[in-house]
Amino acid sequence: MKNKIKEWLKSGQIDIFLGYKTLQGHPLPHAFGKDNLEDIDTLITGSNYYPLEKIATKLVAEKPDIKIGMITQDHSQRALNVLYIWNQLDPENIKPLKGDGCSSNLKEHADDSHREAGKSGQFKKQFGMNTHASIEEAEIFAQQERFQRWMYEFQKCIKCYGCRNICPVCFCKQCSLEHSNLIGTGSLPPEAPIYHLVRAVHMAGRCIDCGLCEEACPADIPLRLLYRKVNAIVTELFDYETGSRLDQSPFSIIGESITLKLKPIAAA
Amino acid sequence: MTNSITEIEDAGCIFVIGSNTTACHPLIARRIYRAKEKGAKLIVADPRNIQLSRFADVAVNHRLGSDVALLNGMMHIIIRNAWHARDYIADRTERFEDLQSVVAAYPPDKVSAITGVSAENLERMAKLYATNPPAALIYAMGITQHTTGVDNVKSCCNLAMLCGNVGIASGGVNPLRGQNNVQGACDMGGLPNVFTGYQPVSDPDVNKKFSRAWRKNLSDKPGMTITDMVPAMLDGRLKALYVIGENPKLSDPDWNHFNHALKNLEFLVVQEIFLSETAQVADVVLPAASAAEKDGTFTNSERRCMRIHKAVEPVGKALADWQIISKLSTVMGYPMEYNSPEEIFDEMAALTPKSYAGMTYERLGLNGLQWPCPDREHPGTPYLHKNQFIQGKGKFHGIEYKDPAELPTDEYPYFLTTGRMFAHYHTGTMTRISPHLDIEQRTGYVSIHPEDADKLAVKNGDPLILSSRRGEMEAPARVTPSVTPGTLFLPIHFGENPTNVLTNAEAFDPLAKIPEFKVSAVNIKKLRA
Amino acid sequence: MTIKRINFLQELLEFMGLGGRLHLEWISSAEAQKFVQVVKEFTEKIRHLGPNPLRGFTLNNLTLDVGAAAGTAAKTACPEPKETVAQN
Ligand code: SF4
Ligand code: SF4
Repeated sequence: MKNKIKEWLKSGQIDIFLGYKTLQGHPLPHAFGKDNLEDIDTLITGSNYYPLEKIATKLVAEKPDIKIGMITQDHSQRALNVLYIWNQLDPENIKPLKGDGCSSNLKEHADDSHREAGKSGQFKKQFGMNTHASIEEAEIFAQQERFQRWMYEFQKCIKCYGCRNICPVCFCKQCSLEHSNLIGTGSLPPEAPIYHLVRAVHMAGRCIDCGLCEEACPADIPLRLLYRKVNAIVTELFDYETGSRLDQSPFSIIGESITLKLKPIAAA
Repeated sequence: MTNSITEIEDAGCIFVIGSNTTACHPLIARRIYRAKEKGAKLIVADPRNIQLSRFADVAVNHRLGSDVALLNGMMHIIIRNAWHARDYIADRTERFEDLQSVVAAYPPDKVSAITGVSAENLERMAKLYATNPPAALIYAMGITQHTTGVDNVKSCCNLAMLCGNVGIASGGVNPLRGQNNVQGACDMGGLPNVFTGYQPVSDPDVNKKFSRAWRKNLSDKPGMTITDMVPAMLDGRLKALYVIGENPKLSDPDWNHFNHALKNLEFLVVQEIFLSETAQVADVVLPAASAAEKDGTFTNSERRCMRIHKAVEPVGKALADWQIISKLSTVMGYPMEYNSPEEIFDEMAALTPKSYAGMTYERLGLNGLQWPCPDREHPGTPYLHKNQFIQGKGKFHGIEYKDPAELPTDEYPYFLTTGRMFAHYHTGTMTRISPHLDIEQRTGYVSIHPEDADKLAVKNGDPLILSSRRGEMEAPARVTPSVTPGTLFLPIHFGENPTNVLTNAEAFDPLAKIPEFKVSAVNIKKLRA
Repeated sequence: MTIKRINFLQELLEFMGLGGRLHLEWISSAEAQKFVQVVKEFTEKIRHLGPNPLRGFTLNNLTLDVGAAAGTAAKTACPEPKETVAQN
């Protein structure tokens, strides 16, 4: 693998390779360049996952023609597909290299210990949304209770924007979450549930279920569950598995023929 | 903190007083959320309705500056119900009688009258705290920035000892420090009266040890606190000031008074990463490297000393603080020749036997070490006073409640408290130039309760003039029930609405010299009535 | 497309416990009757669902939202009345 990367760099197939390297004890994303080919020997593989794809979009924003190689896992391939669709990256300029392993929930120093099976607190299970709940489990509750449970979770939000900042497919130059006409600024918690709903809506057709947002969330809000539901609706309504295909995102198509019936008032 | 941050998760009860934790220490708030979700009880006492209040089993708004009364009231109830830890008190503490006799005079109705907290809630707070061990007590500036700051802290310690919560995991008395490294700065002797590890300059043995190590006879007289420096600047005893990484022009109480004092200086040097308000008026500005541009260590709230690593080279001519100080010292005639922060660390560790002696850069590794760490084999100390108090027995103090220096009068009928909001940090030198944080809050504001706003016919956003005995300033109104009627709140981050025009430099704790930022009496009027 | 988007939102709101409060209908300018009918039905339904549980959350501040649905989650956790409750 390392030889292959060296070859790619040497032959100019890529200008830079995005992978991981241990720095001061932390496995961190690292850009390997042509100038220092020996550096590639320090590349590590394994279950580390950072949004390398997002780093790639930032690089491309600076240098549109840069050719980037990178380690990918299942979800990173999906992320790349989404970014291709939204014209953030050009598949011609990206050379993915399949790494081993899948993202781990439980890296040392990531402190997401609450996500270990059985670690969700009793109180959270009783009044909030269990981190480990499936969509079906979350839908057991009646409407009012669901609302209370979600509001309990959302009110913990400290508006750190960690969920957005880590997300491999959040790339907008102007983020709706920072739009003061949509969401009030300057107070905690952020307006609930608007803040989280706005983000959820914008994840439709984008979220590739990597789970990084939930891992990043200091308030332990089950964001992944929310966005999983978003994905399920997208699949159901648009027959689209986000990131699985390279054709247009359902949300970028305008004026598609109507195949759905309007919902009657009573049934909603 | 006597205890560690992660331990909070396993507390049986958490009592947060005078800390807006979600806004100011969000990663500690995360532990509080987790503890709550695991089943811990949560008590929140704050003059404002803060985010954490929403999750509390009991949330109370006690009147500004009434902390001692509130805590004495809780202890009164605990002792009356015999919920206190009698064996612990007998074995590990002394002067319990002092406390007992004082708190006996704080029955619920009296405390209720002082604090505005109902007798039922007092009972509930006392019961939750005393009967759900281990109970962690968490506080921040809401406890310390008072004329009675030391009394407040001692009262917190009294309460914790009374229930046997000091010296156990997940309990303790946990002041949350205001900066990443303020603990470290104090540990390193960044105080007027001590060398590293709180070794007094006036102790002859200590003084001799440091004088020998630094090959210079050192003064055994404590220096000045900033509270002492201002009058000294005014009467000419202090002619030059060297400010490192502070922005006193905004952060010190009584803005007009302080600025007058600054003008009196002959020479002002400021060492900063950005051109703060204070740096703008300095004679010399020394550009310092930021945290990402230097190597060294930080010691955080939980006494954990951790390595920091240079991620990028310093911008322009900026140098790490230790380099600036070494160069300055060398040109001033005392050559300091260190090659690296590690060399300085090793020297410090060798001179600081009780807390840092066992630490080396290598041992700090990825996770750091919590002091005390007296020798190379010592694993560090997650919580203090485990089997014995460091000073032998834990001493109770009987503490009487005292009013804050200023109470509302006819002329200044409102209470004013100051603090932080989540998007900005202190005087905003770093956060206000970040576009993302700037979006959250661009200007100062004054929080006012809807009832008070109605009385003055003030709407959200109306400019208000606030005046105190020191001066007046302007800020737009934010009408919100997060404050109680009769109390106003001002965030401190905004230079164009300098909160400290209003605060009182004369009111400070007699021992700790910390100014009473948290209580002033003010008047308000509408700018264009 | 609008139908899909609205459908999407309807489902998402449902998942969050705010179901039934969003409705889409095509009404041409000639269909006054239908308009009346739809508005009536929808009004009836909303009335049936009760007041907006979000009311009280829309305040752009640190309110402890007494009586609003979210407060209830925390309240159930601690049946004792709260000091802050009394103050709002
Ligand atoms: S799981 Fe979270 S971080 Fe990952 S793509 Fe979805 S929204 Fe973004
Ligand atoms: S990461 Fe969590 S706390 Fe931070 S903004 Fe997102 S939801 Fe809120």
